[in-house]
Amino acid sequence: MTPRGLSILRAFVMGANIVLAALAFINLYTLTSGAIKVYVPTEEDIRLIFTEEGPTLVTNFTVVNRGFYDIYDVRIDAELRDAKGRCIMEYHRHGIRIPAGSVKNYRVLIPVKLDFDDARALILGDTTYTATVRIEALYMWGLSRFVLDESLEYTWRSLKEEFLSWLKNLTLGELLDLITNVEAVGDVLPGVLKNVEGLGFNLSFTLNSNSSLPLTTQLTLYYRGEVFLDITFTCDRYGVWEVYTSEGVIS
Amino acid sequence: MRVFQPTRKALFALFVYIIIPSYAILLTMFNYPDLSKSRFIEIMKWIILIGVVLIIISQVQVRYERGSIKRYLMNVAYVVASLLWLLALFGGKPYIQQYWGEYEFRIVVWKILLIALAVAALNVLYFTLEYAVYRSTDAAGVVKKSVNPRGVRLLRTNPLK
Repeated sequence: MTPRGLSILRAFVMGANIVLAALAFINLYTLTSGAIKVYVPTEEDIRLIFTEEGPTLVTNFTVVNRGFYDIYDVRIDAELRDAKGRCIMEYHRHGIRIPAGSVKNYRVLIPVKLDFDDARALILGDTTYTATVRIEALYMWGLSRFVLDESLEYTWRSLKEEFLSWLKNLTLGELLDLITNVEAVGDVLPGVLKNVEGLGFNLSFTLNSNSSLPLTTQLTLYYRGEVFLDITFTCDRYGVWEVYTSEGVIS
Repeated sequence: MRVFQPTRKALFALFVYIIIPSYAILLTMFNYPDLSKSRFIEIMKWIILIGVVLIIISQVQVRYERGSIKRYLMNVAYVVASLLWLLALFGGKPYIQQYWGEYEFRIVVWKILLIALAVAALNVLYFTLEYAVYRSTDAAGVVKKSVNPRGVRLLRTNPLK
């Protein structure tokens, strides 16, 4: 090789070194500094909607791309297992593209494999779910791949618990207002029962004639026009609460 | 007294392999407290260590002429150390493992490492060719001196006699 050829090769090698340094730094900085973030759902983000087709889980994933390049081929695979280890929900979404500088929120509606008894159990008892989530995304012409592999535990707070804690915090004035004003019940109850949208409900209170304890609260839930569940909450004169259904006392 | 004078190449290595990356890592570490600090500190420890090796090689290699085997070996060692430095920057694996709060995520970078390997091979090829070209030039020079009847020693000694 001639010295001139060597000089040309040297310039080429220098260029390659600079390109490699730029690639490494841009990738590293963008990816490790949190320019790309994936928000997986938290407990508050998971709700159950009773649609005509059946119970449906509603949640969302958010992908933030504050990098210089598009993120493409984002793959989200999620699986939810109940406390017995049964897979009750699967979610797969592939081929999502997130342009540079954008934030994408994906609302996810997934039919849940729950039968009538399972759905009733969700309303009456707290439980724990395990979600396995795998998120993959390609960045910078596929030179780097982002992988999130998580096993998340979710505590499901039952409708019964949500309702009871709301009931326990009611003042006598609020209670009397709810008894006399049926519309107030319609305004308040959906907020209390937000975890299980789609169910019809009817609420009735019975107090002593002199507006004192014991209090009996009857909550009737309807699904597809039929009575789905009847729950009775009683509070005796000593302030002790009892919850029962037609099948017996729960707590 | 002999004053230590760093070479330009050693100063360049100091900036590129230690000062700039350390600053970038510290900046990222303090701007994003959710990321694992211990991971960054581990990475920094290794890049400084290998960076020092790179500075020493840069400082020492200029003592040897191009075309000498020592210079060639130093250049190859520099390339290998640079590759190791890059691997240390990535956390020593073909993927970067980080924690964002409670979540663990990985950034798979083996394709970049593959490109780095190719570039390193290119560098080694260049240094090999440089060694070959300069060695043959030197060899030619030596031959030229040996066949020259009026060598330096002869010229210095002859007029006095």
